[in-house]
Amino acid sequence: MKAWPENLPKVATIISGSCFILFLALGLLVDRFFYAFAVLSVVMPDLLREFGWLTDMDEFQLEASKKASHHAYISTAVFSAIIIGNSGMWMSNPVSSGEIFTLLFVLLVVVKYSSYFIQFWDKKKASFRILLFFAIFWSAFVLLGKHQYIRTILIALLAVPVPFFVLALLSIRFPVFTGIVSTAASILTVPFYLIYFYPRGLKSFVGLFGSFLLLSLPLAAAGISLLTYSMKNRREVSGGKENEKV
Amino acid sequence: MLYIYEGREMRMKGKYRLKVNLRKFRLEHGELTQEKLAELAGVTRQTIISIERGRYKPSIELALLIAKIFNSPVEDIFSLEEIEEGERKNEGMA
Repeated sequence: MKAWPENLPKVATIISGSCFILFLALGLLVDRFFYAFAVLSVVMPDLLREFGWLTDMDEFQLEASKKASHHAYISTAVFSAIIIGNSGMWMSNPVSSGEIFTLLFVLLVVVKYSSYFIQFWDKKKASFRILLFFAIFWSAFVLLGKHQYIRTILIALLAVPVPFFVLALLSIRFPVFTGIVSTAASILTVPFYLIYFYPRGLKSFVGLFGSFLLLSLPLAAAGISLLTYSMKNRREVSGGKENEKV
Repeated sequence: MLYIYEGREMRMKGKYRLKVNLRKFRLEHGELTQEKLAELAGVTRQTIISIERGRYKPSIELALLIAKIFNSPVEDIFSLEEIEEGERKNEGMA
Protein backbone atom coordinates (compact mmCIF):
# COMPACT_ATOMS: atom_id res chain seq x y z
CA MET A 1 0.00 0.00 0.00
CA LYS A 2 1.31 3.45 -0.91
CA ALA A 3 2.15 5.63 2.09
CA TRP A 4 -0.09 8.66 2.74
CA PRO A 5 1.66 11.81 1.34
CA GLU A 6 3.52 13.75 4.03
CA ASN A 7 2.46 17.12 2.66
CA LEU A 8 -1.22 16.37 3.20
CA PRO A 9 -2.95 16.40 6.59
CA LYS A 10 -3.38 13.00 8.23
CA VAL A 11 -6.50 11.00 7.35
CA ALA A 12 -7.61 11.32 11.00
CA THR A 13 -7.17 15.13 10.82
CA ILE A 14 -9.22 15.39 7.62
CA ILE A 15 -12.03 13.26 9.10
CA SER A 16 -12.01 15.09 12.44
CA GLY A 17 -11.83 18.51 10.73
CA SER A 18 -14.79 17.71 8.47
CA CYS A 19 -16.78 16.40 11.47
CA PHE A 20 -15.85 19.53 13.45
CA ILE A 21 -17.18 21.87 10.74
CA LEU A 22 -20.31 19.74 10.25
CA PHE A 23 -21.18 19.52 13.96
CA LEU A 24 -20.35 23.16 14.59
CA ALA A 25 -22.73 24.14 11.79
CA LEU A 26 -25.39 21.80 13.17
CA GLY A 27 -24.81 23.25 16.64
CA LEU A 28 -25.33 26.79 15.33
CA LEU A 29 -28.28 25.97 13.07
CA VAL A 30 -30.10 23.04 14.70
CA ASP A 31 -29.27 22.31 18.32
CA ARG A 32 -26.37 23.11 20.66
CA PHE A 33 -26.35 19.43 21.56
CA PHE A 34 -24.16 18.99 18.46
CA TYR A 35 -21.36 21.04 20.07
CA ALA A 36 -20.51 17.98 22.16
CA PHE A 37 -19.83 16.08 18.94
CA ALA A 38 -17.78 19.02 17.59
CA VAL A 39 -15.53 18.81 20.67
CA LEU A 40 -15.27 15.05 20.38
CA SER A 41 -14.41 15.18 16.69
CA VAL A 42 -11.41 17.45 17.35
CA VAL A 43 -10.03 15.77 20.46
CA MET A 44 -10.72 12.20 19.36
CA PRO A 45 -7.58 11.66 17.18
CA ASP A 46 -5.34 13.01 19.97
CA LEU A 47 -7.10 10.81 22.55
CA LEU A 48 -6.68 7.74 20.36
CA ARG A 49 -2.99 8.57 19.90
CA GLU A 50 -2.58 9.06 23.66
CA PHE A 51 -3.94 5.56 24.29
CA GLY A 52 -1.80 4.15 21.50
CA TRP A 53 -4.78 3.04 19.41
CA LEU A 54 -3.89 5.36 16.55
CA THR A 55 -0.28 5.16 15.36
CA ASP A 56 -0.22 7.52 12.39
CA MET A 57 2.47 9.87 13.78
CA ASP A 58 6.17 9.41 14.42
CA GLU A 59 7.90 10.65 17.58
CA PHE A 60 8.67 14.14 16.21
CA GLN A 61 5.07 14.63 15.06
CA LEU A 62 3.76 13.40 18.43
CA GLU A 63 6.05 15.77 20.32
CA ALA A 64 4.98 18.70 18.12
CA SER A 65 1.33 17.75 18.56
CA LYS A 66 1.67 17.52 22.36
CA LYS A 67 3.42 20.90 22.56
CA ALA A 68 0.76 22.43 20.30
CA SER A 69 -2.00 21.01 22.52
CA HIS A 70 -0.26 22.53 25.53
CA HIS A 71 -0.14 25.95 23.83
CA ALA A 72 -3.82 25.62 22.87
CA TYR A 73 -4.75 24.64 26.43
CA ILE A 74 -2.91 27.63 27.97
CA SER A 75 -4.30 30.19 25.51
CA THR A 76 -7.85 28.86 25.85
CA ALA A 77 -7.56 28.95 29.65
CA VAL A 78 -6.29 32.56 29.62
CA PHE A 79 -8.92 33.62 27.10
CA SER A 80 -11.70 31.94 29.14
CA ALA A 81 -10.50 33.82 32.23
CA ILE A 82 -10.59 37.11 30.28
CA ILE A 83 -14.13 36.41 29.00
CA ILE A 84 -15.46 35.43 32.44
CA GLY A 85 -13.58 38.24 34.18
CA ASN A 86 -14.98 40.84 31.80
CA SER A 87 -18.46 39.40 31.56
CA GLY A 88 -19.84 42.84 32.50
CA MET A 89 -18.61 44.11 29.15
CA TRP A 90 -21.02 41.91 27.21
CA MET A 91 -23.76 41.16 29.78
CA SER A 92 -25.73 44.18 28.55
CA ASN A 93 -25.74 42.61 25.07
CA PRO A 94 -26.58 39.00 25.89
CA VAL A 95 -24.28 36.51 24.22
CA SER A 96 -25.45 32.94 23.92
CA SER A 97 -23.36 30.20 25.49
CA GLY A 98 -23.17 28.66 22.02
CA GLU A 99 -21.40 31.74 20.66
CA ILE A 100 -18.95 31.77 23.56
CA PHE A 101 -18.33 28.07 23.04
CA THR A 102 -17.67 28.65 19.32
CA LEU A 103 -15.16 31.40 20.12
CA LEU A 104 -13.27 29.33 22.66
CA PHE A 105 -13.23 26.30 20.45
CA VAL A 106 -12.11 28.21 17.37
CA LEU A 107 -9.29 29.67 19.48
CA LEU A 108 -8.27 26.19 20.62
CA VAL A 109 -8.26 24.84 17.06
CA VAL A 110 -6.42 27.86 15.55
CA VAL A 111 -3.69 27.84 18.23
CA LYS A 112 -3.32 24.06 18.15
CA TYR A 113 -2.83 23.80 14.37
CA SER A 114 -0.79 27.00 13.95
CA SER A 115 1.57 25.88 16.72
CA TYR A 116 1.79 22.36 15.26
CA PHE A 117 2.64 23.68 11.77
CA ILE A 118 5.31 26.05 13.12
CA GLN A 119 6.97 23.30 15.14
CA PHE A 120 6.74 20.54 12.59
CA TRP A 121 7.48 22.38 9.37
CA ASP A 122 10.27 24.79 8.69
CA LYS A 123 9.10 28.14 10.17
CA LYS A 124 9.09 29.83 6.75
CA LYS A 125 7.10 27.03 5.15
CA ALA A 126 4.69 26.94 8.12
CA SER A 127 4.09 30.71 7.89
CA PHE A 128 3.40 30.43 4.17
CA ARG A 129 0.86 27.66 4.81
CA ILE A 130 -0.84 29.52 7.68
CA LEU A 131 -1.19 32.67 5.56
CA LEU A 132 -2.39 30.69 2.55
CA PHE A 133 -4.91 28.71 4.65
CA PHE A 134 -6.44 31.92 6.05
CA ALA A 135 -6.43 33.54 2.60
CA ILE A 136 -8.52 30.60 1.32
CA PHE A 137 -10.67 30.62 4.46
CA TRP A 138 -11.47 34.35 4.15
CA SER A 139 -12.06 34.02 0.39
CA ALA A 140 -14.60 31.25 1.05
CA PHE A 141 -16.16 33.37 3.81
CA VAL A 142 -16.58 36.31 1.41
CA LEU A 143 -17.73 34.27 -1.59
CA LEU A 144 -20.24 32.21 0.40
CA GLY A 145 -21.61 35.30 2.18
CA LYS A 146 -24.91 36.78 1.16
CA HIS A 147 -23.55 39.70 -0.87
CA GLN A 148 -25.89 41.16 -3.47
CA TYR A 149 -23.43 43.19 -5.53
CA ILE A 150 -20.23 42.10 -7.22
CA ARG A 151 -18.64 45.40 -6.16
CA THR A 152 -19.24 44.52 -2.47
CA ILE A 153 -17.67 41.10 -2.99
CA LEU A 154 -14.63 42.64 -4.70
CA ILE A 155 -14.16 45.18 -1.91
CA ALA A 156 -14.51 42.44 0.71
CA LEU A 157 -11.98 40.27 -1.17
CA LEU A 158 -9.53 43.17 -1.41
CA ALA A 159 -9.91 43.99 2.29
CA VAL A 160 -8.80 40.67 3.81
CA PRO A 161 -8.20 37.61 1.55
CA VAL A 162 -6.03 39.42 -1.04
CA PRO A 163 -3.60 40.85 1.59
CA PHE A 164 -3.32 37.33 3.06
CA PHE A 165 -2.53 35.91 -0.41
CA VAL A 166 0.01 38.70 -1.06
CA LEU A 167 1.70 38.15 2.34
CA ALA A 168 1.82 34.38 1.71
CA LEU A 169 3.57 34.93 -1.64
CA LEU A 170 5.93 37.58 -0.23
CA SER A 171 6.92 35.31 2.66
CA ILE A 172 8.75 33.01 0.22
CA ARG A 173 11.14 35.69 -1.09
CA PHE A 174 11.08 38.36 1.63
CA PRO A 175 10.62 36.68 5.04
CA VAL A 176 11.91 39.65 7.09
CA PHE A 177 9.69 42.20 5.34
CA THR A 178 6.63 39.91 5.49
CA GLY A 179 7.35 39.11 9.14
CA ILE A 180 7.46 42.81 10.04
CA VAL A 181 4.33 43.64 8.02
CA SER A 182 2.34 40.68 9.41
CA THR A 183 3.32 41.38 13.01
CA ALA A 184 2.59 45.10 12.64
CA ALA A 185 -0.76 44.37 10.97
CA SER A 186 -1.73 41.96 13.76
CA ILE A 187 -0.90 44.59 16.39
CA LEU A 188 -2.70 47.37 14.50
CA THR A 189 -5.92 45.36 14.07
CA VAL A 190 -6.45 45.16 17.85
CA PRO A 191 -6.81 48.92 18.60
CA PHE A 192 -8.63 49.29 15.29
CA TYR A 193 -11.34 46.90 16.50
CA LEU A 194 -11.39 48.14 20.07
CA ILE A 195 -11.30 51.87 19.36
CA TYR A 196 -13.13 52.11 16.06
CA PHE A 197 -15.62 49.26 15.67
CA TYR A 198 -16.66 48.24 19.18
CA PRO A 199 -17.75 51.64 20.61
CA ARG A 200 -19.72 52.34 17.42
CA GLY A 201 -21.63 49.10 17.86
CA LEU A 202 -20.51 47.94 14.42
CA LYS A 203 -19.28 44.68 15.79
CA SER A 204 -20.76 42.48 18.43
CA PHE A 205 -18.57 41.00 21.15
CA VAL A 206 -18.52 37.69 19.30
CA GLY A 207 -17.77 39.33 15.96
CA LEU A 208 -15.00 41.37 17.54
CA PHE A 209 -13.19 38.46 19.17
CA GLY A 210 -13.99 36.16 16.27
CA SER A 211 -12.24 38.59 13.90
CA PHE A 212 -9.34 38.83 16.34
CA LEU A 213 -8.99 35.04 16.36
CA LEU A 214 -9.24 34.59 12.62
CA LEU A 215 -7.41 37.74 11.52
CA SER A 216 -4.96 39.08 14.12
CA LEU A 217 -3.91 35.73 15.60
CA PRO A 218 -2.81 34.05 12.32
CA LEU A 219 -1.02 37.25 11.26
CA ALA A 220 0.83 37.34 14.59
CA ALA A 221 1.69 33.61 14.42
CA ALA A 222 3.01 33.87 10.85
CA GLY A 223 4.77 37.20 11.45
CA ILE A 224 6.57 36.18 14.63
CA SER A 225 7.64 32.84 13.23
CA LEU A 226 8.97 34.52 10.06
CA LEU A 227 10.97 36.96 12.16
CA THR A 228 12.42 34.23 14.39
CA TYR A 229 13.25 32.21 11.24
CA SER A 230 15.08 35.20 9.73
CA MET A 231 16.98 35.98 12.94
CA LYS A 232 18.08 32.36 13.35
CA ASN A 233 19.08 32.15 9.70
CA ARG A 234 21.10 35.34 10.00
CA ARG A 235 22.88 34.04 13.13
CA GLU A 236 23.72 30.76 11.37
CA VAL A 237 25.03 32.57 8.28
CA SER A 238 27.22 34.95 10.35
CA GLY A 239 28.41 31.99 12.49
CA GLY A 240 29.34 30.13 9.31
CA LYS A 241 31.29 33.13 7.97
CA GLU A 242 33.23 33.44 11.24
CA ASN A 243 34.10 29.74 11.10
CA GLU A 244 35.31 30.16 7.51
CA LYS A 245 37.65 32.99 8.62
CA VAL A 246 39.13 30.72 11.32
CA MET B 1 23.58 19.06 26.76
CA LEU B 2 25.51 16.95 29.26
CA TYR B 3 23.95 15.34 32.26
CA ILE B 4 26.32 15.22 35.23
CA TYR B 5 25.46 13.01 38.15
CA GLU B 6 25.78 14.64 41.54
CA GLY B 7 24.72 12.05 44.05
CA ARG B 8 21.27 10.94 42.91
CA GLU B 9 20.45 14.26 41.37
CA MET B 10 20.71 14.71 37.62
CA ARG B 11 21.75 18.23 36.70
CA MET B 12 21.94 19.80 33.27
CA LYS B 13 25.10 21.88 33.05
CA GLY B 14 24.66 23.14 29.51
CA LYS B 15 28.39 22.83 28.69
CA TYR B 16 27.89 20.60 25.70
CA ARG B 17 25.69 20.48 22.65
CA LEU B 18 24.57 17.70 20.39
CA LYS B 19 26.55 17.42 17.17
CA VAL B 20 24.71 15.63 14.38
CA ASN B 21 26.66 14.09 11.49
CA LEU B 22 23.63 12.54 9.87
CA ARG B 23 23.83 14.45 6.58
CA LYS B 24 27.51 13.52 6.17
CA PHE B 25 26.70 9.87 6.87
CA ARG B 26 23.81 9.86 4.44
CA LEU B 27 25.92 11.24 1.63
CA GLU B 28 28.80 8.88 2.39
CA HIS B 29 26.47 5.88 2.31
CA GLY B 30 25.69 5.88 -1.38
CA GLU B 31 23.87 9.24 -1.41
CA LEU B 32 21.02 7.85 0.67
CA THR B 33 18.13 10.27 0.27
CA GLN B 34 16.26 11.76 3.23
CA GLU B 35 13.14 10.07 1.95
CA LYS B 36 14.76 6.64 1.79
CA LEU B 37 16.29 7.03 5.25
CA ALA B 38 12.92 8.15 6.61
CA GLU B 39 11.32 5.06 5.09
CA LEU B 40 13.97 2.77 6.58
CA ALA B 41 13.65 4.39 10.02
CA GLY B 42 9.85 4.45 9.88
CA VAL B 43 9.57 8.21 10.32
CA THR B 44 8.60 11.14 8.10
CA ARG B 45 11.08 12.95 5.87
CA GLN B 46 10.39 16.12 7.86
CA THR B 47 11.67 14.35 11.00
CA ILE B 48 14.96 13.50 9.25
CA ILE B 49 15.25 17.10 7.99
CA SER B 50 14.63 18.42 11.52
CA ILE B 51 17.24 16.08 13.03
CA GLU B 52 19.82 17.14 10.43
CA ARG B 53 19.13 20.82 11.04
CA GLY B 54 19.34 20.36 14.81
CA ARG B 55 15.71 21.35 15.32
CA TYR B 56 14.82 18.04 16.88
CA LYS B 57 16.78 15.73 19.15
CA PRO B 58 15.78 12.14 18.38
CA SER B 59 14.89 9.62 21.05
CA ILE B 60 17.50 7.03 22.05
CA GLU B 61 15.55 4.39 20.11
CA LEU B 62 15.52 6.42 16.91
CA ALA B 63 19.19 7.40 17.27
CA LEU B 64 20.13 3.73 17.72
CA LEU B 65 17.95 2.70 14.80
CA ILE B 66 19.59 5.26 12.52
CA ALA B 67 23.02 4.05 13.65
CA LYS B 68 21.94 0.49 12.91
CA ILE B 69 20.83 1.49 9.39
CA PHE B 70 24.31 2.87 8.73
CA ASN B 71 25.91 -0.04 10.58
CA SER B 72 27.97 2.43 12.61
CA PRO B 73 28.34 3.26 16.30
CA VAL B 74 25.71 5.78 17.41
CA GLU B 75 28.36 8.22 18.72
CA ASP B 76 29.78 8.58 15.20
CA ILE B 77 26.47 10.06 14.07
CA PHE B 78 25.37 11.78 17.29
CA SER B 79 28.07 13.11 19.57
CA LEU B 80 28.55 15.72 22.25
CA GLU B 81 30.57 18.79 21.40
CA GLU B 82 32.00 21.03 24.07
CA ILE B 83 30.91 24.65 23.90
CA GLU B 84 33.78 27.10 24.37
CA GLU B 85 33.46 29.72 27.13
CA GLY B 86 33.25 32.63 24.66
CA GLU B 87 30.76 30.79 22.51
CA ARG B 88 28.59 30.10 25.56
CA LYS B 89 28.51 33.80 26.36
CA ASN B 90 27.53 34.57 22.77
CA GLU B 91 24.80 31.93 22.87
CA GLY B 92 23.54 33.37 26.11
CA MET B 93 23.36 36.84 24.57
CA ALA B 94 21.70 35.63 21.36
